[in-house]
Amino acid sequence: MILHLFYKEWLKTRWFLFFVVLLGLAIVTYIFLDVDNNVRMKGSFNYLMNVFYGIPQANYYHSLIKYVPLLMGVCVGLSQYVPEVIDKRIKLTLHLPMHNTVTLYMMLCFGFLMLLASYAVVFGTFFYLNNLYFPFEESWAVLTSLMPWLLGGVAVYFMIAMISMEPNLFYQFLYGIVAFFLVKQFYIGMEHADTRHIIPALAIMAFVPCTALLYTSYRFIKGER
Amino acid sequence: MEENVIECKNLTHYYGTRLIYENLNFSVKKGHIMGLLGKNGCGKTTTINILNGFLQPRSGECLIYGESTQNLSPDTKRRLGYLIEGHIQYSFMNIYQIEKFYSGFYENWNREAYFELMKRMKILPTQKVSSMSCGQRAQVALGLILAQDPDLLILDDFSLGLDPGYRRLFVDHMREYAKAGNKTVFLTSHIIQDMERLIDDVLIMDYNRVLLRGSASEFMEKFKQFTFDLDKDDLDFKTEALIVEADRIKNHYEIYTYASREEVEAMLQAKGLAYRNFTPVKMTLEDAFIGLTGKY
Repeated sequence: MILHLFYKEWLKTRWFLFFVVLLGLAIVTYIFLDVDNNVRMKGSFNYLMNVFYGIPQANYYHSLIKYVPLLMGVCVGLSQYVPEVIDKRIKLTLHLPMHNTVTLYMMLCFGFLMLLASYAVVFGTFFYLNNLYFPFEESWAVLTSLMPWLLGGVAVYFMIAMISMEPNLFYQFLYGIVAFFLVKQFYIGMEHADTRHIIPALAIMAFVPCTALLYTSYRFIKGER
Repeated sequence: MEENVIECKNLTHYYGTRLIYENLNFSVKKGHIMGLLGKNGCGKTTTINILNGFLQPRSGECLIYGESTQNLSPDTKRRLGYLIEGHIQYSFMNIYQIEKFYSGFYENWNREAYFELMKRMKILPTQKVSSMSCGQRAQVALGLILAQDPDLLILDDFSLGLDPGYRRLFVDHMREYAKAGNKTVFLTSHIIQDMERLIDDVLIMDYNRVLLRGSASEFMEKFKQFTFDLDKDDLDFKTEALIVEADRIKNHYEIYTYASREEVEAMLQAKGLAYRNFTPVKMTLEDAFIGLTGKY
């Protein structure tokens, strides 16, 4: 049953996933074409020093990649939940012979896994290419400094799921405002930074909205208007 | 004693402060087809939503196979077929995909029944639900229900958007399917003439109250319409104990009643009214519904 539920989710999200992964790969490719050019012109060590000292060029790369996880979260979330919300098709899904909570969390689980898979493809490629030009330690540092943005994508995905299930438009608007300010916290700053100390707190912030789905879905099933 | 598949007890519901109904009671017996009739806004979809567990009533409860509709188990959901108003289905799927999706949830899934209907309707397996007409969507929804083979069907306004041909096709299929398999059906429709061919029992609702609950054929047998002419054109029969509903165009009167012709004529004579052209009118279910609820 769960595989069949995943099949439905896959049918909804596949083209959006394809598009967003392709876009992410295109940005990564563009960045590393530029890096390749800089490394050739300046040499790997000099260029690495530039990056460590946060020159505008490095910030420029970050500005390109920064919102890719957010876009991925939005794409997966909207492609998965908008078709369910239109004409209240979620009623069909909740009518399947499974417990409602299991159904809803399986849908959420699918979206989360797809998001992780997209991250794996795009940021795995990023990590791999970075490793080709720079030492592993630098690549690892870059990846950890990207973590808040990756978690931001997760947070926005869970927020979209939660807001979609809310039956009242006004409440949706309120949750939207909360979501905006919550997600904003993941995208403060542009530079390389040691984010390791705040990752646990951000992870909690990213995963808390997935529990709020229980509340909005309860309101939906109760028939709140 | 016949088993009650649906049992609703003391249902009361409000939207805000607006009362929809109070202490509504009804049950649907195994193998029966019950039609819920009522004017717009009298609570038909509210009742369907409560039955499907998508609305919690202010008080009272509905049971399906003995389980509260607010908390149906997967096994009971498996026995329940549900048609959403407007034949809503997953529009991003095509005919093949939607069958493949649902087949994983139901043990006795009958894919032949589904594809046979699709073939008969000349719907291609690659055709997307979003590109279909309302009539074709209705057939897809019907095909999925036939393949699921549920014991209880809840159909919300099944005739919405369908032309007469599709409506007739849907009704005939549904009747044959339900009667052959001893299925229980609870349905609503705006088009009452379709119901006539389909239902055994009827529940007629008006704003905040139930007007009728019982066998449709018995109702049609007992409920009568008479027309007659009088010299006067300002009489109102609605207040008469015998009369359920009355209407008048100039001096031509039409009345709806459970009383016999003799009783109505005796009432007119007792009032000293010189009536002419007294005629019993043969009614359809729609006429009877209008007669019971009024035209507006």
